[in-house]
Amino acid sequence: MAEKYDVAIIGAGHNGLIAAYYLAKAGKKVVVFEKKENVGGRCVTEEITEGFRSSVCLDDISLFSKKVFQDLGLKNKGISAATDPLAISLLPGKALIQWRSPQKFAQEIATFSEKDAKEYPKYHEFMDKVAKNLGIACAKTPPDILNLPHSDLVDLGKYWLKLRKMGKRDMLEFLRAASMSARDFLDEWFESDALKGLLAAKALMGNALGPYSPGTAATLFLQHILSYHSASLGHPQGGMGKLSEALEQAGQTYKVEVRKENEVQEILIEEGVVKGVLLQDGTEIHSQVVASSLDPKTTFLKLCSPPKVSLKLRNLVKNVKSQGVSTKINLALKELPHIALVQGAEKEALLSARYFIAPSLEYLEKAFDATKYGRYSENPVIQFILPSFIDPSLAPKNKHVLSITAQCTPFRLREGSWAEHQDKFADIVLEKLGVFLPNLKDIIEHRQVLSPSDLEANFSLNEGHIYHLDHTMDQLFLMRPIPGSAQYRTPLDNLYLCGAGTHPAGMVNGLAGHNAAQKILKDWKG
Amino acid sequence: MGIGTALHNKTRELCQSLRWKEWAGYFAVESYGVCHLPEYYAIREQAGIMDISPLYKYEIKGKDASLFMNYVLAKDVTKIKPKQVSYCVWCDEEGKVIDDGTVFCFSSEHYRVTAANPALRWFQENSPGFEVEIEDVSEEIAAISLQGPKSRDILKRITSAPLDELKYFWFTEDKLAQVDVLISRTGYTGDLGYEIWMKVEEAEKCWDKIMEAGKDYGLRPVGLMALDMARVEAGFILIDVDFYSSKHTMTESQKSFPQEISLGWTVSLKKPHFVGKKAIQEQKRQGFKYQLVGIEIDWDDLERAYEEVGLPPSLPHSAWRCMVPIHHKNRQVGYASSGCWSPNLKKYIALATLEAPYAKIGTDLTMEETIEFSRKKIKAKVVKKPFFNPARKTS
Repeated sequence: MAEKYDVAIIGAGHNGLIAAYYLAKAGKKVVVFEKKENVGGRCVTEEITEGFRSSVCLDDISLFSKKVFQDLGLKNKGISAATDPLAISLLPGKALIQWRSPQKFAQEIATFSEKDAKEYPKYHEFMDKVAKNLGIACAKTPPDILNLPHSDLVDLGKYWLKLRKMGKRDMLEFLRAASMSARDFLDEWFESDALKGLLAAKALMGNALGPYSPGTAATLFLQHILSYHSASLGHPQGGMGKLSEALEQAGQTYKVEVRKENEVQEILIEEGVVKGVLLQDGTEIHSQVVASSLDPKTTFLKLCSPPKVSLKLRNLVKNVKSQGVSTKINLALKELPHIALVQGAEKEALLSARYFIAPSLEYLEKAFDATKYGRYSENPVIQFILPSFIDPSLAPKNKHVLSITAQCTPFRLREGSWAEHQDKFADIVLEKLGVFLPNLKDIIEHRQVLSPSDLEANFSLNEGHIYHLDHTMDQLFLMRPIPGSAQYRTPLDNLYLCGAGTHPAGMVNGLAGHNAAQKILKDWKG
Repeated sequence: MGIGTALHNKTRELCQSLRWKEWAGYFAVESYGVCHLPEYYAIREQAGIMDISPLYKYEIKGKDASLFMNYVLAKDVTKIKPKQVSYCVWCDEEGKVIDDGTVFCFSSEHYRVTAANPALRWFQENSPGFEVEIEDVSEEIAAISLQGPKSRDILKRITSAPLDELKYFWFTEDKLAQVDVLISRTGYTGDLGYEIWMKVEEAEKCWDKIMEAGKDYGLRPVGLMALDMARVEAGFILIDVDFYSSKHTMTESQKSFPQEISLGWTVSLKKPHFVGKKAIQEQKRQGFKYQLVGIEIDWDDLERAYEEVGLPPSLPHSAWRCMVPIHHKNRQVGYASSGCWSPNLKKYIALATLEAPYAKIGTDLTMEETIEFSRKKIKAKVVKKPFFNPARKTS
């Protein structure tokens, strides 16, 4: 007899674990299957070389949902509090420091543009207004426009009222702006390349998009909305794996069973109805519901037997934009790197910030251009943090780890493979960083380079996309990942999606797991 | 007009009639001589050689190749063994035939499909989720068809391939003229015959070798006109003539379920889901409306009709391809789509699509014939197909 559960979740990433928590809390018997020996998915802390540990894949939880954080009682789990400043953009001879307070940030902006310094607080206020009013949509299942049940109609009505509450002028401005490119939108507000470059870089990270791409202003809104409703966390003590452990522990309270080193080989489907999962070792697990926290392509195209999935669905999924463009580089350093532009009384605070090399919109766009032609950028957009500065336990005494995410590096290279190119690309990144971190080259003990190809292999990310799919207008909200599956429920009965490829977005906010669980529970009641 | 195939230099030299046709974008010979009948007789009495390189060819490879083929084709592909060839159809989601072709099984992870129409896009559209690679090898593989009672003897002179053991619709891989070839016991004539497949660069070498070996056997190059007569005799249907690809029709009524074009035997409703299965199952429950059958036109009645206007009976000297109404009593119950006078059988035969109740063997019908500007109805009868089915085809 096959084992029976109420819900079987595929993948113990943060979304899988969060969904499991809510479902188990509601009394469901939940099992989570994880291929690797540790939970976390993209949020893991692993050794990069002896004595050095780092958040080897994602390293940012600044957008983690406040609601989920509170619901799961993560407050006392040693996950760090907010850092200030939020971000620092490194520019030739100068740095732009984004402090948490918009007013303080405006003072920094003033050294670049007096005009922008005056505009920024207004911009921030406008973005806050959007976030305040529309943020609610992120923690709920998007309405099902095609069928529009009564409850969804009510939700739509609520969203409309929220929009109206912004006031006619701001509402129209939002509706107009959401479909614009990030450049067009930011150009209307600001003149400083440095400011626009930093704002766009933060929003576009992980996506195969340039700031001139249509609809990219939406990523600015998305980032701001998630940030507004976030728990304002800095890099966790103990790395990203610490967060995942805390999520696993939270689930244990309600008897969530996490089965590690148990890879799901196939989702069992009979006549369009999902019956459970088949594990790699041949074990069949039956469940009322299967929820996949894996990306939609892996879920529908690799885990389902293709003849059992309609052609229409397979083609919709196949055409989803999911080419990863990020490369992760983790460095083990002999000593604290010297960041030339960081000095003075606030040095400590500054060193815990997230750094960007994204001097202008044009720079971002040119980095993206390479992607279009299947090449990696010679002038990559780079962000990095020094996790060991916040948490010295990650490296041996007085030594450090540097966590770098660089793009654009398309998964599909026109010529050659990533195995051939990744070291060349890492050299380019280190060369760029060397301009601002002059002693960097001399203090590297070890480097770990994870190309999109490695990210795919190591973290089950289809095409190495760190957020499963691009945050484009046609792949957000009602359409994420595809029309007909945006309500977490899929065209295959009893199969749900609960990962980064669903509403609201990737970027480690935990809301996909939260929302999917609510949807499953709602459907369960009927 | 088209381009030449890998064998164009050879066929052009031989084509005295200058009668060419377009076939899948290539030049194809209609008849080499001014009269095509010697070519027809070569197929039935000695052997005919034909350039069939214009066929579309696709390689399907990968872990899921068998699963994929079983999903896109109506036939149970798992039953096709390595080195076996199988005639298959593929249908759209509505169960209507898109195309037919032969499937060569190399292994459960490697198949080759031939098709009359381009099929790459359709195969690719259906492939998401399957671990398969689909490659269009139409321009890389040339093919020569050698058909007729002497075809085996000719081939045996130039290859050591075990042709005596090679059964109907199986293939073997061997050398011919020091060239690696695939020899399949297949063809479109309903006779003993082989199709020889090779890389385009080596096609001419093979052609020369076969032509030389065939000299003593009366081997002739044959064109499409002779082939058309042979295939009607064999009861083989032709796309865009006897049925239409559901991708190219103007109206719904032009589409057909496989069962409606006598290809029910290529559909396995027992296997798991394949494209079009549900629709075919549903139609089967309701009953198929049409059937494609063979009919024989009554010679005496034809003679009578001509005699009435004072003319000697006239017969088509080549195969015709047009829609001709078929009546049962005074009601039209279908149409004939291709037909010919069979010199071999001495019978006037045709392929016809009829409303199912009138498709039983022996049903009396009439076929329209225009004689001296006016339409006449000539007696005809549903007969068994193939019209011509020599033992040597499969022996």
